[in-house]
Amino acid sequence: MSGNRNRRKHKNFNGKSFIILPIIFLVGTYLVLYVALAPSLGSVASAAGLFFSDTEKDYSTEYKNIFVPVVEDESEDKEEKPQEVNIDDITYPEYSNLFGELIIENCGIDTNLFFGDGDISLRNGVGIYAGSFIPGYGKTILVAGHNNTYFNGLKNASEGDIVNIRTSYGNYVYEITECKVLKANDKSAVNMGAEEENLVMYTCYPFDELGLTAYRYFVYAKYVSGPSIDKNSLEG
Amino acid sequence: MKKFTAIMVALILVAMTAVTAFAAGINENEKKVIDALGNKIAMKNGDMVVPTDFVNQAENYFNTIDMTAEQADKIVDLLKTTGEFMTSTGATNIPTMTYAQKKELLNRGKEIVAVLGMTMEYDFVKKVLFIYDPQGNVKFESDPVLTVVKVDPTQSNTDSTNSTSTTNKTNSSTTSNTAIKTTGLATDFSGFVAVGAFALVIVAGATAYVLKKKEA
Repeated sequence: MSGNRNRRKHKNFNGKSFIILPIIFLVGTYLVLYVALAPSLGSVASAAGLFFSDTEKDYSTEYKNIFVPVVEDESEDKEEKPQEVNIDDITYPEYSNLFGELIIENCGIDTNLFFGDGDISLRNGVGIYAGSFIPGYGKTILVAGHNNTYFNGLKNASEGDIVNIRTSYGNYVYEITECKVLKANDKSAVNMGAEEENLVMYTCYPFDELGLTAYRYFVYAKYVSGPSIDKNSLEG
Repeated sequence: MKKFTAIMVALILVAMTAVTAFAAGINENEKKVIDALGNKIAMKNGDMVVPTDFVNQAENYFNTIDMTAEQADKIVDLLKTTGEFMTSTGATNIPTMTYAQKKELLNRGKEIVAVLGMTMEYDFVKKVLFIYDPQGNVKFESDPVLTVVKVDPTQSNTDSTNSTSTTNKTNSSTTSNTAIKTTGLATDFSGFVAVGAFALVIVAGATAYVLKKKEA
C-alpha cells in the first residue's frame, strides 16, 4: 500500500519536474536574456537585415523625404554662387528626415543623407548625429554609416578625396584631410564644440564585420565651399 | 448686407486659419536657455556638465521653434533648481543616484520640457532617455549621463587673486558616450556577462533541486 503511494508521489513529482519546472526555466531565462540584450537588439537586427537580405527592401515609407536637389548653373562662376543662405529660407530637417545626398566618387559612395543616426537612417543611407549640425551651420558635422553597406567604400578614402554633400538649400564640398582608426569611446575623436565647419565620417572597423568591434574608422574632411547659413532670422 | 456679411465671414475664417510664421534660428530667449544648459553642476567628485552634443541637440531643436521670454525664464529657473537638486543627492553622476533620486530627476526633466509642450520618457530596458516634441516626434534620444568638466588651461577664467572661477561656464567642449554609434552588436558585454552568470546560477540551483528530490 505504502509502496503504491510512493509510486504515485513519484509519478506526480516527475510530472512537475519535467513539465512545469522546464517551462518556468524557459520563460525566466528568456525574460532575463531579453533584458540583457534589448539595448543591442535593434542595431543588430537592423545591420543583420541589411547584410543577410537577398532582396532589396523598400524602407521608403519609414521616413520623410524633404530633399529637393539644387540645380547649379555649371557656367556660373564659383564666386558668383550664393555664399550665404538665410536660415528662414531652409527647411530645417527633423530627426530621420532624408534631406540630402553624400557622394565620394573615389570611394564609390553615393548615398542618402539623413538627419539623425538611428536605425531608420542607417538602414536607408548615412545619418548625421543630431548632436552635431547640418552642412553650412559652421560647426561639426558627424556622419555615421554601416561598414558593410553605405560606408563600406570609406576603406578606400584617402587624403585629398572630395566629398560632395547636396541639400535642398545648397551644395557643399569638403576635402578629406585624414583617416584613422580609433576606439569608439575615444572622446578626442570628434570636437563637438568646434566653431568652424568640419566634416567627420565614421563606421565600424574592421570593415566587413557586423560588429563585436570596439574600433571605428574615422575620416576627417575640411570645408571647401558651399553657402554658409546666416542664423540671423529676417522674421520677428 | 449679404456681401458685407460674406466679407466679414471670410475675414474671420482667414484670421482663424492663419498660421503664425515662426522665425527660424536662435533668438535671444533660446540663447539664454542654451547658455544655462552649459552651466556646471557640482557633483560629489567635482564639477560635471551636460555634454556639448546634448546641448547641440537642443540648439538644433530651437532652430525650428520660437521660444518666448516667459518660456525661457521658466526653463532657466527650473534648470537652476534641478542642478541644485542634483548637487544635493551626493551622487557622482546620474547613474549612481538612487532609484528615488532618478525618479525625482525624471519628474523635474518632464516639468522642464513641458514648458515647450514636449514630453520625456525613460526606457529602463534600453536605458535611453527620449524627448518628444508636441507632435510626438523624437527630438532627443540618448543615455543621460553627465561628463567631467574640461577646462582649457590656455583660456582660463580664474582670477589670480581668487581661487574659484568667477564664471559658471565651461570653456572646453565635452562629448557624451553615445555620440559614436555601434553599427552592429554592442561592444560592452559586461551586462551580458553578469546576466549570463545569473542564468547559470539559476540552472545550477534548479538542477541541484531536482537531483535532491530524486534522491529523496
